[in-house]
Order: sequence, then C-alpha cells, then structure tokens
Amino acid sequence: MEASITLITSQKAFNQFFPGLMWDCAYVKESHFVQAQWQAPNGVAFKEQSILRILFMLPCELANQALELVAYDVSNYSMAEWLDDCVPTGSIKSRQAEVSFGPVTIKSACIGYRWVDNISSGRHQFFTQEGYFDEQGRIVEPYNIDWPSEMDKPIEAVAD
Amino acid sequence: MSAGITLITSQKVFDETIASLDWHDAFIKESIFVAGIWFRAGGVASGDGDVLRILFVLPCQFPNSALEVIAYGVKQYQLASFLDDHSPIAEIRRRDAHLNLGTFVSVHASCFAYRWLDNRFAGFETCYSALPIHNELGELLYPFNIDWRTAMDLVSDLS
Repeated sequence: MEASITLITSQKAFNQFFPGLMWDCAYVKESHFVQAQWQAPNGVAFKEQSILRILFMLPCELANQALELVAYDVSNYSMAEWLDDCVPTGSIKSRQAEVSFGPVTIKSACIGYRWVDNISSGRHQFFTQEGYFDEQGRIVEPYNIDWPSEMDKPIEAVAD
Repeated sequence: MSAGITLITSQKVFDETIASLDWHDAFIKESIFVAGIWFRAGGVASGDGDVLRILFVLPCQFPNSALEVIAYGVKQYQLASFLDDHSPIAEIRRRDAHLNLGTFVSVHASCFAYRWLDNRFAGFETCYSALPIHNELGELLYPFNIDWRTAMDLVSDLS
C-alpha cells in the first residue's frame, strides 16, 4: 500500500534529504519500538534486530506530510512530542547512525525512511495497522531490508 | 486478554507494586507512543492526550512476566533495549511523575499505571501492532480510558 523504504547509507544521503524538508511545526504522532528479544521456554531468545518506527508529521510539507523514519538495531533513543522547529542533524557511518531531530535523538545501526499516506496525518493510527513481525517472528515487508549489506558497501558504490 | 489497569496514584503504591518486583534480567520488549493530536485542515486538533505504553518482560517474576506500564500525559521519555539489572525508581507527585530504570530509560509523564498481560506477549508475538488506543473520535478506548486526573487529585498524600 505504501512506498518502500529508502535507506540512508551515507552522510551525503542524510544531508541531501532530511535538512531540506520543512520541519516547522513538525511533531511526533506515533512511535513504535519492537525488541527482537523474547522469553522462550528455555530462556531468552534473540532473532532479527530491534526496530524503532517514528511517524513524523510535517504540516508545512505540501504534497506529503506523513514521514515514517525507521531505525534498525536501536541502542537507545529519546523522544518528545514536539520537535521545536529544529533542523535534523546526523552522523552516518558504517552500521552506526546517530541522528537528532531536536529533542528526538536516536542511536542505531542504520536508518531509513518512507512517505506514507496522508490519511495517517488524521486520527488514524498507523502502527496498529502495519505490523513488523509475522507469526513466525520474521520481519515483514517493507521492513525486511538487508540493511547490513547496504551499509557495508563502499560509499562510492552506493547510489545517492 | 488482560487485566484492568491499576493507576499509580502515590509514591506508596509505586513502592509496593512496581518497585517490589523481581527486575533481574528484565528488558523492554516493545513500546508504542501515540500523540493525542493530529493534523487537519486549519490546524492541529487534540484528543485525549499522549499515551506511552511499555511492555516489560520480567523473566524472574512468577507467575506473570509480561508487565505493561502506561504513561499518560507524556512529556518526554528515553528508552533502551536493556535495563542492565536496574530496578525502577520513581517520583510520584500530583500530575507529575518520573520513572527511571538506569541510565537510558526514563519517562516523564503526568501519571503512570500498570497491568499484567498474558504471558504469550512475553514471547515473540507483537503486542502493540493490533489494537488502537484511540477511537475515530480521538477518545481513549477501554481499558485505557481511565479518569486518571480525578483519581490523582483525590489522593491527599501527593504534593
């Protein structure tokens, strides 16, 4: 139903996309964090990676206003509702992405984004309609990207 | 699926419930935040306020290990995957509550509540990608539609 996820594989890719958007009056409408760890009968099990999804609303963007940010293998993150009109900053390295959207900061291995339908800007709750794991514990589309391979490519081989 | 919500209306309630659990090897399995505002033509509309739900798994706690903590009126929060065996500490005041679990996990909100979930949610099954928190009018759904403001105002031992 929605666009696929675009990975931010370089500092250049970050700088060319996020700071150029209209962040005036932007806010966090939803966020959803899923840890790839759970309690199994014989202990704690791990599978895939943890993921953080944030639905940013950008009221001053004309065509699309609902931007989903996806962070893979999240170490920690801080969250607030309002972004205080801050322009995003970030440091993108191989398997290390530290980004800041004003009071919203994320430390993870990789980030990506996609525009979602503007219906998500209303009362509709997006992340209760879009799951992350299937019933076998596998990551579902569009989140099942091989981001480690993409991040490990040499910078010059990565299409901006 | 789950029990009703218990509001943490005082420091004493917190100390006797959440703080007294066995937090050894506990971790955050899932969390979801939903803002009580949305964009519409002409500006921003507001509903029943911001809600943050955190699903903690407490492997050493029997017979239930899936604990959901609900924060109402969320101002700011930071979360991490691992709690590093920190036990929770909190400061509960009237409509102003702080919760801390180590260096990277803290929540500042107006009110906290908790409930035990079915143990299947301690497994890999995703808990928060099924049922919404708000209805189509922006009102909180059961069991989250508690009048926490009145409950907190009725407690006399809060500063």
